[in-house]
Amino acid sequence: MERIYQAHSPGEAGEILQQNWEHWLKTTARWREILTYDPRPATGCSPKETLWTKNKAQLYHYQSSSERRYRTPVLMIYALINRPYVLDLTPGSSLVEYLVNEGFDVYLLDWGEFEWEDRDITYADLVYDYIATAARKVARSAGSKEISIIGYCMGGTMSTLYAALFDRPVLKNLVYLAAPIDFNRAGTYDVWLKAPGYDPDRIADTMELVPKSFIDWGTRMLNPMANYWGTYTRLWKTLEEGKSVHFWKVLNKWSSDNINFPGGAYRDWIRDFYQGNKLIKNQVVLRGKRVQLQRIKANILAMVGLRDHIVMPHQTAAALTYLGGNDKTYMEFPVGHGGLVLGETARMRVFPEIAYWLGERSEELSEE
Amino acid sequence: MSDEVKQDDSKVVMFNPFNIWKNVYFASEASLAAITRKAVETTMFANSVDMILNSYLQYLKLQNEVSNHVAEALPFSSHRDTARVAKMLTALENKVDRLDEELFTELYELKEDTAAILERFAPPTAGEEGDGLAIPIDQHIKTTEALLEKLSTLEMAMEEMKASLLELKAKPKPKTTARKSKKTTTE
Repeated sequence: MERIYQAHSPGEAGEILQQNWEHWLKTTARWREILTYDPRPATGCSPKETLWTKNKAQLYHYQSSSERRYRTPVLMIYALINRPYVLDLTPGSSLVEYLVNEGFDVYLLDWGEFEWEDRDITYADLVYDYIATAARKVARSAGSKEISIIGYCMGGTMSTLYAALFDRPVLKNLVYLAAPIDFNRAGTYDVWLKAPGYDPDRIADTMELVPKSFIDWGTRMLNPMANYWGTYTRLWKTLEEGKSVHFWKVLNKWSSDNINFPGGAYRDWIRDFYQGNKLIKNQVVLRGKRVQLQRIKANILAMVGLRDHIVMPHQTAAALTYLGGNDKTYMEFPVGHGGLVLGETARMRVFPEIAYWLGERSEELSEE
Repeated sequence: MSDEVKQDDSKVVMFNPFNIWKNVYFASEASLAAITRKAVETTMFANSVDMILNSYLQYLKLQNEVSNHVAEALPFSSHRDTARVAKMLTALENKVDRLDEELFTELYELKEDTAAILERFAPPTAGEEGDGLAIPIDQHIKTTEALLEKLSTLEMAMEEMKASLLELKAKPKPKTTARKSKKTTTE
C-alpha cells in the first residue's frame, strides 16, 4: 500500500480510499477466519518408521529416497517443551529433510506427551532409560559403532548428560543448537528462577505433573507483548500485504503445541541446573554416577542465535570451555532461539553448516 | 514535457491514512513490546508473580488433599490407581528393553568371536599375500619338519636295531643256551 495517493480528481481519490477500506475489511475477515476456522497445517511430513517405543516416547527412523552416504547415524534429541516436529516442520523447511537428502541416516527421539503416570520421571530416567537405549538402537539399526547427536535447547543439555555417562556406542559428534550448558547469567530466567520466592520443590510436590499451560506461560511471558498480541497482529499485517501465511500458521501451530512436564524432571531442571548450575561444576549425579564434562571426547559444534532471549549465546559457548576433546567449533547467527531451525537463515546457512561439519566428521559408506 | 507538468499539477495528492495508521500502530507495538520485556525482567515482577504462584500452590495442595481423600473413600479406582498400572507397564517395557539389550550384546559378541575364528583360520584368497597368516604357517612348517626329523632318526634307530637282530640270528647258538631257552619257553 502506497504512502501517498495521486489521483486525477477528488472523486478518484475517494474511490481509492474506498478500495483501501474494502481491502482492510477483507483482510480482517480473512484474519478472523484463520484464527477461528482454518485447519492446522501438516507438519513432520518426512517419511519415517517407528524403530522403537517406550511409554509415550517414539524413536523415528527417517526414510530416504536418495542414496545414503554416511555410515555414522545422526540422532536428534529435542527438549521437553513443545513438540519435536520443529526439526521436521514442513517440506523445504526441515532440518531432518535436509540431512536425509545430504545422505545422513537420521533418527529422532520424540518424547510424546507426558501424562499423570509420568509425573515422577527424572532426568536420570530420561538419560538412562530413554536416550541411552535410543542411542544403542540407532547404532544397531545403522550398523555403526559410532553415532552423532544433535541436541536442540534442553535436548542438548540431556545429550551432554548422556555423553558424559556412556561410552558405547561411541559418540563421535555432538551438535548443540541453542543448548544451555552454563546456567549462570541466563537472562530473564535468571531473575525469575533465582527469586527467593520461587521454590521448584514446592511446585513439583504440589503440581506433580507440571501442566503444559504453566510451561507455556513461562515461555510466553519472556516477551509477553510479542507472544500474546504481536503474533496475531503480525498475521494481520502479513495478510494485508498479500504475503503467504503458511509459515505463520505452521509456526503458530508449533508454538501453541505444548506438553506437560514431569514434576521430577522439572525439579531437577530448575534446582540442579538453573539454581545450582551444577553441570559445569561436575556436581550432577544420576543414579549414583557423577556427570564429568571432561569425559566427553566427542567433536563439538556449538551453534547459537545472537538474538536468543531463552538461551543466551554464552550458555552454549561454555561447551567449548568445559567439555573434553580437541575438535570444537563455535558458530553464531543473527537469529533468535527458534531461528536456528526455522526460517531463511536456518535453511540457507544453519542446515548447510551442520551437514558440512557432520559430513567432514562422519564415516562414509564408500570407505569400505 | 510541459503537458506532463500540467497533468501532474492537476493531480490530487494526499496521504494514505490507512498506511499512516498501520505504520504508527506497528511502531507503537514494537515500543510497547520492548517496555513490557523490560518490565518482566525486574525482580519486582518476579516477586509479585511468586506471591500469586505460592498462593495458588497453597490452594492446589488443599484441593489435591481433599480430592485424594474423597477418591480413597470411593469404591472406584482413582487416577492414581490407573497411573500405577501404567507405571507397571513402563517398568515392564524397561525389563523387555534390558533383556533385548543383553540378548543382542551376547549375539553380537558371538558373531564377533566367530568372525575372528574364521579369519584366523581362513586361507589367503587369490591376490592376497596373506601376511597375517605367514607367521603361524611358518611355525607349523617348522614343527612338522622337526617332527619329520625325529621320525627319520627313529626310523634309522629301528633299522639299526633290526640289523643287529638279524646279525644275532645268523650267528651259531650254544647248546646250553638253547636248552635253557627251551625250558624257558615251556615254562
